[in-house]
Amino acid sequence: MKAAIITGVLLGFSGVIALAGFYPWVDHPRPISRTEVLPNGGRSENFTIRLPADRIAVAADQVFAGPRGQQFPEDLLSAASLESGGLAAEHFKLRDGAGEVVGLAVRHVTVLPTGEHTAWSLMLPSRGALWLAGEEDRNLIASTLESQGFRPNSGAFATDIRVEATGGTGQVFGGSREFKDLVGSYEEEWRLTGVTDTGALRGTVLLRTITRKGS
Amino acid sequence: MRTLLGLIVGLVVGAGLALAALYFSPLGAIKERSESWQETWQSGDESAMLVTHSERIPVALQPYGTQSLWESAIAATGMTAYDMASDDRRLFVSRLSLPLEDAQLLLGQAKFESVWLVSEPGVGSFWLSQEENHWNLLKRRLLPAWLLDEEFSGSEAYPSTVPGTARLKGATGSYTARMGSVAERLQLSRVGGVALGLTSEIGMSWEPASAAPESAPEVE
Repeated sequence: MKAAIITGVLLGFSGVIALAGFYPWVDHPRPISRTEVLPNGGRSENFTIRLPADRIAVAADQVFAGPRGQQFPEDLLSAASLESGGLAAEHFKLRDGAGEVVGLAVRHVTVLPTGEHTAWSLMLPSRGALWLAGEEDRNLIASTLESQGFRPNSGAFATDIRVEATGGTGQVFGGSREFKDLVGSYEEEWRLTGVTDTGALRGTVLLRTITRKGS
Repeated sequence: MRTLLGLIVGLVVGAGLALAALYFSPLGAIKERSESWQETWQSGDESAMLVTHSERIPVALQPYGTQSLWESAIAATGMTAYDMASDDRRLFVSRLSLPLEDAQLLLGQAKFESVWLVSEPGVGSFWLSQEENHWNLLKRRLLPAWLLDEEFSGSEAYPSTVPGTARLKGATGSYTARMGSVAERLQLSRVGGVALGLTSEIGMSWEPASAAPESAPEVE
């Protein structure tokens, strides 16, 4: 009896310790990394954001005119730093090139004396965060829609246009874990198919990254 | 029969001893940095602009009805957005947090990765990356509240940044090409039901700006 109890204590103790130490309590699903190796040894990877489905929260009406500045959700609380003007914050779900949700994306746009500057943080839970920054024109989307005949508060609108947002200024600034030491460039393209009857942009934001290990 | 009974009793006692050792282990304590920081920032008591997760934890989404992070790839992730202030300066923080796969419970570490995009109106943006250990906060307040309905109201501080893992990296504007260090402490004011009163205090120090700004090498 005594031997059985002692054996049980040892087994119970070591079992819990082993469970705490070796059981994979956290195991992030790892979607296939859809990267393409380039002839010069660099790596190309594309990400997409579907609008309006992938919007989580957008507070951008102080920076962007038209549908891009539409606050979402409607009852989003205000933040003092955003109300001061000159700062927009957008939060999205992030998809890979095949359209599968693989992470989250955050973008801040700051209006500075030198123009509008964009910074992205793309988080892929199983791989890390990828950081991007570039410049953009705050009026580009609104003016392009207007040139196609869109008028505010006129209901649903259909179109098929592609807008290059960063004009070649996009750069990769590393990030965390797998992306920590990467450098490179990115392009941001908006493929717009219209505006919904609630005034939301409809289309896809495509982020094309080209990276390599930094020296 | 007696042997089997002895074995079962022993298993229960052994398991209980191991759980107690894990719970009371002092290994997870974080030593806060003693030197002073160049800047200190604090989030306010007002509700965060955005709180969303997969709804697996009993914390209310903000605003109510916000899209949850239900897809399998992001179901363990949390996203928040809120203001921070220092004197009359303001920062806007968008924060993504997730548990790390190498959480080392034996060493008293419930490790999380936290990646922030931070912007100061009219000044620019920067990124913050750190590992956090929330073991003490989880075992002392959050798990008892969520599993045993033990509510808490008061003020308790929990250093969260794992030393040596936190860094700042400038992105745009006046923060371009800047690097720095940071540490965070969380202040818990309440937990109970779906309410969680948690504010963040950070200390930051920036390295002197280099003469020529860096630019990421072009990849052809």
